Amino acid sequence: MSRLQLQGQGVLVTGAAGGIGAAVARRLVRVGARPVLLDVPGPRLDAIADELGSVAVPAPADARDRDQVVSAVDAACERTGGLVGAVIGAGVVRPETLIAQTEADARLTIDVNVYGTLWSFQAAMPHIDRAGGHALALSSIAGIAPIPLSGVYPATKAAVDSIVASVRTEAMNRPASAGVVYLAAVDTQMNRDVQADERAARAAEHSVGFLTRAISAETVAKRIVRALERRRRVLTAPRWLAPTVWPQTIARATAEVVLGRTGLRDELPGGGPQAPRQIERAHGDGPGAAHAERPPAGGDRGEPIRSRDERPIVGGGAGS
Amino acid sequence: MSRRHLDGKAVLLSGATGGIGREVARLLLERGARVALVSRPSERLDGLVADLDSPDAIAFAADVTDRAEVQDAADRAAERFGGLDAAIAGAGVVLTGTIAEQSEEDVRRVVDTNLYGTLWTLQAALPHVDRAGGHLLAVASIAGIVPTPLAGIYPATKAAVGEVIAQLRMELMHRPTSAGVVYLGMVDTEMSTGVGEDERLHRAMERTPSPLTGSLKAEDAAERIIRAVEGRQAAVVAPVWQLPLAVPQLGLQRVVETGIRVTALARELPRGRAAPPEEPGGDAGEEERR
Repeated sequence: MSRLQLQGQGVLVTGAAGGIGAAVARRLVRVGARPVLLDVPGPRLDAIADELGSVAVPAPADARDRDQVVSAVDAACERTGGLVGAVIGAGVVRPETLIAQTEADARLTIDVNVYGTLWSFQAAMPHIDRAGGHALALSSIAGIAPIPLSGVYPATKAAVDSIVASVRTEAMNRPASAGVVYLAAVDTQMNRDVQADERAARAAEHSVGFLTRAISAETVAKRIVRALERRRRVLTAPRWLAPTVWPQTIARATAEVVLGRTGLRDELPGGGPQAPRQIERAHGDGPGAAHAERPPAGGDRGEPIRSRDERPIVGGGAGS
Repeated sequence: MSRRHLDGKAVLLSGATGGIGREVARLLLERGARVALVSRPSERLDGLVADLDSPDAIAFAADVTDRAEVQDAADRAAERFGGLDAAIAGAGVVLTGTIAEQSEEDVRRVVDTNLYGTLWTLQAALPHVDRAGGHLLAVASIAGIVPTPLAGIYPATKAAVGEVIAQLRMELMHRPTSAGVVYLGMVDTEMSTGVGEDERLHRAMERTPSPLTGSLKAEDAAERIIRAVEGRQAAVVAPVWQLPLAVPQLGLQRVVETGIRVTALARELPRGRAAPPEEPGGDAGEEERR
């Protein structure tokens, strides 16, 4: 598949004020893309937006709130002329055993990590689809094999992984694609929060170094942006994690191939006997291509979209 | 770990009025267990109690999506039965549609029941089950390992449930309680009928080779669930031909589970039995005598 051209194109980054999000946004600017910075409004979002200047587009929104996410993404797309990619990374962890985790902490983690990821996908995919782009969501190695004392975090990351697989499968007839990034410890505030739990800190002190050593957010960001350009279905950082995700990846890839051959394929968006199996990458590849057709201006999002095919380009003439 | 015979044991069952839940309740009674039926207050729940018609089947109405209600139901059930020996978190719902287009209302309903409902049930039951050194079981789905398309957020919630149990097993390593998960394929219930009613899925399934869409009978699924409790099994896949889909991931989780025992993290995990609940109702000795 052709490489994704990010030059001059909008790329959504959720959790953009966080450690990995900010690093990804910086990296995107370096490769000439226009990051759409989605995070909760506040000084941290302002700081990264100021730092990156006018090439970046702030999209202040609480990832837990679907309406906020959809309107922030749509509004930002008016300025970038659409989205060619997304790095969906907003996430929180509250260290505790599952049994002792409070309702408030469980709800916060699930709201941000599961709902936040899904709403971001729902907001971004129509735009990405139009550009024939690629979306990546950040999961964790904990989503494959859970780590004790991390509350519902591993469960939410397993859900993220599953959401990506569903999005990928359902887009098999469409120009857009999606992938998942499995991370271990990355040197960010989130990691420092985990280490603030004295049990986790004690355990880390006595563990084999390479298992718990955090890699830098810059390294991760560089690899994430490269994975986006290459439309990777799976990325693991650090690299030594790769074998642990193979079984999952192979099972999913096999299922995709099998499903692609069953009657189900025709029932997925963009499928059907009357529709061509593979929709041509109409405006996917050249820089500026996504500008050709503007994404809708957001007013048409009130009800669930039945099919992206039939969806009128409502906001075609609107916007700047 | 010893096999549990369910004769005389007290079992909390959530999602009791569902297609599989009803069968599980019936089989539990057949094996001599006493069953706390947890489900939303409804005519169906009353009907189930009437159908089962046994002094050992008692309804404890609660909405599993509400943590306080589930906690209250579990506490009342434990008080009534003098403790709980096992809990089966079986409440689940599926609403079809593509994940990219599923409405917020549908998404929230599925997450509330499948993920929160399971979590709250396990949290509510553990202190009681722990005092009996019992078993916690959650019902997941093969879709949690390899997502079925057009099932919206459902596969993600089941992936999360599988992960919750895998983590719980590690966190309970020093405690007498065990936990397990049953990954079910399509089971012939109202839930699957609902799936069949989705036009696209119905058409798709008609044109898919039948072994891939064949349903398990609810009573067979229930039998597997009960055996998983009796045998304290870590993970069960039914129908068994779908096992290869799950083996790599489950294998990896077992390796990590074993590996974690020798790490420093193991020392940080809770030991002994759960602290007694606020009301000094059941003391540990009572369960041992039964």
